[in-house]
Amino acid sequence: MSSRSAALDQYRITRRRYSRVVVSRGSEQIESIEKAFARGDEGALKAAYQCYSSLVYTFCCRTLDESRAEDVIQEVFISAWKSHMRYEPARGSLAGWLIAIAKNRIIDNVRAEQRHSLRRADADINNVAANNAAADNAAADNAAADNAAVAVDDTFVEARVDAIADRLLVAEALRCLSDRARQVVTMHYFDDLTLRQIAETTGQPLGTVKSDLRRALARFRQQLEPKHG
Amino acid sequence: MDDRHKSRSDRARRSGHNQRSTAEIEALLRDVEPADLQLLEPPEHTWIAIESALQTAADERSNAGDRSYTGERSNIVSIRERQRVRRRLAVGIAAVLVVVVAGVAALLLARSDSSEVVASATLAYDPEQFDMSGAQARANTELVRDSGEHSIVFVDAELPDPEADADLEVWLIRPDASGNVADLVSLGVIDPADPGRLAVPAGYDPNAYFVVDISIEPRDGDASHSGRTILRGPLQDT
Repeated sequence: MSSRSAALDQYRITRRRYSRVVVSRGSEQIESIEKAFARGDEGALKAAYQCYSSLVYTFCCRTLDESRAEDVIQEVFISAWKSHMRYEPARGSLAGWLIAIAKNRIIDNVRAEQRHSLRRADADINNVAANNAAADNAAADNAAADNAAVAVDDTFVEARVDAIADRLLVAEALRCLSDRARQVVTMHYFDDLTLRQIAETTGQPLGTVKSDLRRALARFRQQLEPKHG
Repeated sequence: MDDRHKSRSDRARRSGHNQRSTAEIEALLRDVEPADLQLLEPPEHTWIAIESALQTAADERSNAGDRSYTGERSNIVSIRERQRVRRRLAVGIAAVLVVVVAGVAALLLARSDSSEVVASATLAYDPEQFDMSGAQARANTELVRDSGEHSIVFVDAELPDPEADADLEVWLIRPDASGNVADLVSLGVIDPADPGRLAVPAGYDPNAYFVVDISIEPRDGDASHSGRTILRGPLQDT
């Protein structure tokens, strides 16, 4: 048992640290996973994957086809782990950081596909132009128009991807709230009940309902604003 | 194009310091659709691919490091190489002796068919880390070797009854050099009133998996650790 004895001293020193990394399904462990991820602790990537892979994958599937979604989720976790030292829990949630990485990858993928389509269209035009020199001017005009359309599409794609990311992060923050706070949020924003109606329905004092809602909004703000470069 | 379809740069300009107003967050909450609350699970092979890619990258870095080391010190390789060979030879002979001695010992042990307590663990509650249900709990366990197989035996224990639709489960944890969880294995579910004896699965060396952990596990079909540890403690040689 000598190897165990040798490891025991190290265990005594660091037992608090590793107990935080045990994979958890509870929101109370999220902060621990974020800190472990930032430190690059062994096991932290798997814990982060178990916690957030469905969120990232859902985001990918909502914006890309299935095959590219699988590629992008892999790229996101590999890239995030390789640059874990750049993640600072104090500056934003890990979910927000991963979604920000995914957003960039998704937009790159969509743009690459658009460029590919445009090149195919240009090749078709050039083939026509080679056969008919008189068509050159028209072909150039068409290409310029296509480029302008792609530029407009870029803005639209980015905005659409942003909107999906925001809504998924809001939904994620909702999952992390206490049951009571989540009930207040869903009754107020999904069911359109007033705070007074919520207080009457739940039997909670109006002040409690208000403070639950205020704390929940602060949580949403933190989730939505990863302040990493 | 509505508010949520504006570009990131538009929004950054509007918010200036990149923080959403309460009104914007409230608008987002009202925009949440049922589909946003339904998450899709990635295919199982995704995690395997991630692990494999990171392992390959690590191996490549490691191999590159080895080559540069050899190249930089080519003049002294021959002397050191001879010393290394001698050391390896000595280690090899020692290893053979250890294997022979261990084999003879194992044979004698198997013939005697007796069990031996090789280590024990006092499991403790950590109020900062563990599930509150373990606050009054305590347990002493022993690692017993019998005919070459290991078991964890509860010598005495005061364990809480878990909530309905949950069990107490015993694990062995392998910490890494930094003390983080490198791996863990479930030994099985126990009866709080009579935890008894649990076999250590074949292939799991108690020298490496030397931290005993008891957790509350909801019966939700998820075989992984719930994170709701109530007691934990390292095995120490007797």
